[in-house]
Amino acid sequence: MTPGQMRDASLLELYRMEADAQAQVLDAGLLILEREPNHAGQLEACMRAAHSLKGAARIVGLDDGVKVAHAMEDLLVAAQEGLLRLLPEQIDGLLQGTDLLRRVGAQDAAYAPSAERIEQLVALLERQLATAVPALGRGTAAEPVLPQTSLAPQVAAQEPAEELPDEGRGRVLRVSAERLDHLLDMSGKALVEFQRIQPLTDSLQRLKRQQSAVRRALDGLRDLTLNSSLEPQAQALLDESRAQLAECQQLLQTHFEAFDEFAWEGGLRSRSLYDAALSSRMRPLADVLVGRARMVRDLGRSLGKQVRLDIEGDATQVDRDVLERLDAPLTHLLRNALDHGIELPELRVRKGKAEEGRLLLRARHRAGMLVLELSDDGAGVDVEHLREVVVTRKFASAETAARLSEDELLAFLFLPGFSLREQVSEMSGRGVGLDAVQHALRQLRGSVRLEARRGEGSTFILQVPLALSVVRSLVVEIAGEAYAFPLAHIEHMLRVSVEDVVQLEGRQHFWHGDRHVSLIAASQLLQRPEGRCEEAGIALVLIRERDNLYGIAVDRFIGERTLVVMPLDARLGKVRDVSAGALLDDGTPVLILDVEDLFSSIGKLLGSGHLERVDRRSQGVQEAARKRVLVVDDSLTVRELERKLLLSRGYDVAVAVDGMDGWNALRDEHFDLLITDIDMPRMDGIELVTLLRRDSRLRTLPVMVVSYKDRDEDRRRGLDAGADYYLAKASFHDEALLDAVQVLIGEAQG
Amino acid sequence: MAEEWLAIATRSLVEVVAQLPVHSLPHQRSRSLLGVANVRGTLVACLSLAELLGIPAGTAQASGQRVIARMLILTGQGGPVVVPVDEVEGIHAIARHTVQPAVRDGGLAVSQFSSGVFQWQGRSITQLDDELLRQAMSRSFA
Repeated sequence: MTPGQMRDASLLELYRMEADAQAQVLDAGLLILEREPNHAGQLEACMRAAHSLKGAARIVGLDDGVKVAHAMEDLLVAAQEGLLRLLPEQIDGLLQGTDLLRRVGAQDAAYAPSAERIEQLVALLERQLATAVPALGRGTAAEPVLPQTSLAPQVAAQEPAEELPDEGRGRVLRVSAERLDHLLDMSGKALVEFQRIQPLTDSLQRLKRQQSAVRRALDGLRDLTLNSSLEPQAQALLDESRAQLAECQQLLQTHFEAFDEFAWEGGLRSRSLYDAALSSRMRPLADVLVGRARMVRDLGRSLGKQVRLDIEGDATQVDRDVLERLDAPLTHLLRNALDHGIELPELRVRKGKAEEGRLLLRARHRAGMLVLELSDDGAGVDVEHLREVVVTRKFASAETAARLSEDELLAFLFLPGFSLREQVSEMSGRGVGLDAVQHALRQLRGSVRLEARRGEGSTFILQVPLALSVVRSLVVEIAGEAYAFPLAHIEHMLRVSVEDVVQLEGRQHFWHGDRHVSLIAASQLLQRPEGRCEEAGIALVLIRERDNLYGIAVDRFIGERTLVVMPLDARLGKVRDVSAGALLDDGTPVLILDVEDLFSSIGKLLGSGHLERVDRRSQGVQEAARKRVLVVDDSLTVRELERKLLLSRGYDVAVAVDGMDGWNALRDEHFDLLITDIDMPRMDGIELVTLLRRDSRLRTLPVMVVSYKDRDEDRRRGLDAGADYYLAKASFHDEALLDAVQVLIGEAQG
Repeated sequence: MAEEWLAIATRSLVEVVAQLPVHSLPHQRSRSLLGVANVRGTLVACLSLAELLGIPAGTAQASGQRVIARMLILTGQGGPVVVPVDEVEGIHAIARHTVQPAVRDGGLAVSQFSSGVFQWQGRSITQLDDELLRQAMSRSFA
């Protein structure tokens, strides 16, 4: 890159930044002008913006940009001088011009508008000017003689910094996201680190108490010896130790006070450091709303509707990650409201509403959450009609549907594939994609719900956390380790007694109110060893996936905590069922569960039918004594035959379908014997045995090979790999197998 | 480490720390991946060196001496890795010429990772090849 090119590149970058800023001014101003064509302030602002862009485009040599900006400026100046009145057609032209100005500086040439497009628009603008002001039209188009033009370059060069629309919200600096994240990370750690001082303070307190106890003991000793004649030497030693102890106490007290103050101050400071770092990631909601008013207007016009978007609380601060991810659902809801909420002007007039539809977006903070309310004054939802659709689509029986409340009915709109499409043209398609909106909000640990009144419009209420970096969670213990459920995903937490659990089709359930809940052991779900539950009853966390409630049985509840989310080591990839990690107050790691993942794990587990009981204490007694055998074979017949045989002799049997499956089972669970085939997909028996013999824990596990191959060399291969017994399937019969098993591990019991 | 004394070049060592609580991961994929531990406020993957090297773990402490188990923070590909060890002797400069080239006889897995053997204070110490070790560590993430 030559210095010249470099200069051009950075100039272009500057142009792009300015174009973005000025285009926002134009968008906002033009929308107001559409309603109030004579708004002097906005006319002035738009004219200045177009003018600045013309100057900027000239500096960087974007002739197309100069032409467009110039034509726009002329039109605006004419309007300013009262020579013409801006009609929606002219606003359209100006808005298109704004778009072109945004794109002429695009890095990617393919994205930049074509020359014809430019000419077309410039011609359009000139025509509009000419029809409105015949006298002026020709003249200005031929020779742009506005007095400011010559000044333009200098003015434009100074303007970018001053003209940013952010003036009212304080100066804005560009900081790389990475650096900001690092800052937040460090301050989060400082905060956590300081929380670890508490145990130290406690132990210092204990030390103080211990010293006092020693002091009392020595005092007692002195009192005892006061009247008796103690040897002078012993007396001296006693006095000495009392004096020393007093000094120690004194010293400890001073240190303790200093330490306490340090801890307090430090804690306070790291807290405010963290808060400050967190708030530096916050951006006003206005950022995500840029261009929304414009989008609503354009889309409205294309649908033949007149719609305006009003925003309240656009200065509300939100974490920028949350903002980014709000973008798509918000766009979706706006389109939805425009398309299906707001009626056509004629219909609105007939209903006695203002011709112009109104969307209102209100944002505010509530209890640590961002609440967004998007309401339209459109048709709303016909709840009774919805009730019928629910029944005809077989989502619920007629009786159930009749009992559903309005809120419950509206919730159906968020189901995937649920739509009122063919039923009514008036609100056709309402519901399409709403499931996507709900999914996006769930991912943000938020929620969405709909309130609607027939004929008066509907309101979507969105709730999202202000930041993704902090999450309120219920911390529980599973298999002796800490895991966290984000509070937003928990339906309920409760403890049920073993008697309340009923067995149904091999699954455990219990009744929660009038709903039945499937119980699943968290340890099994996460493939962790079983934990110990000490308290009475089973600690359950209820999570809901649409209509299904699942009760996840955990060892115990630890409590509700605010966790600072930290990503797991990237090399670990995506750990199933885990969304991130965090640290508890004492510095121990905790894993935050990914509830969406959990649902799919639950699905798999229920599908496999290997559900364990959650109250295992009662059954554990006789299980322990039985010997466990793992049968690995890719043939279902052989597997089942062997399993039945062994079961009949009282052995506990588990099966695996190939070597890989078997290896996984062996690593997770305890077995007394492995019976394996040789020829299997994925991992064959020889490989499995070889792996086994290399493993320190499984090295001594007895292994029996059962195979069709009964040549001597096959036999030798199996035994060389480390099998203890080789049984050919040709000579396979019940007794041979059972005898061999008995030789290897003895009877099933004991 | 068990009965074996191993040496690792200081260039791959970041820090020696006291024992940390390790949180295991659900759906454990390999036996050598123990979980994650909190190292100064970040969650770092924790690997079992014993499992990696094929040494039976936790059979030490025969001598009756006070042995303090530690954790080593090593540099791995793409970030640090924590490995628990039975005891740390210290950091010593070892003259290069005293190191005998290792015999990779294939017996124990540990010999696959050794780059040399040397005598030090009456003990025979296996020097680990840090590059091979790093590769093995990366593999155990997969």
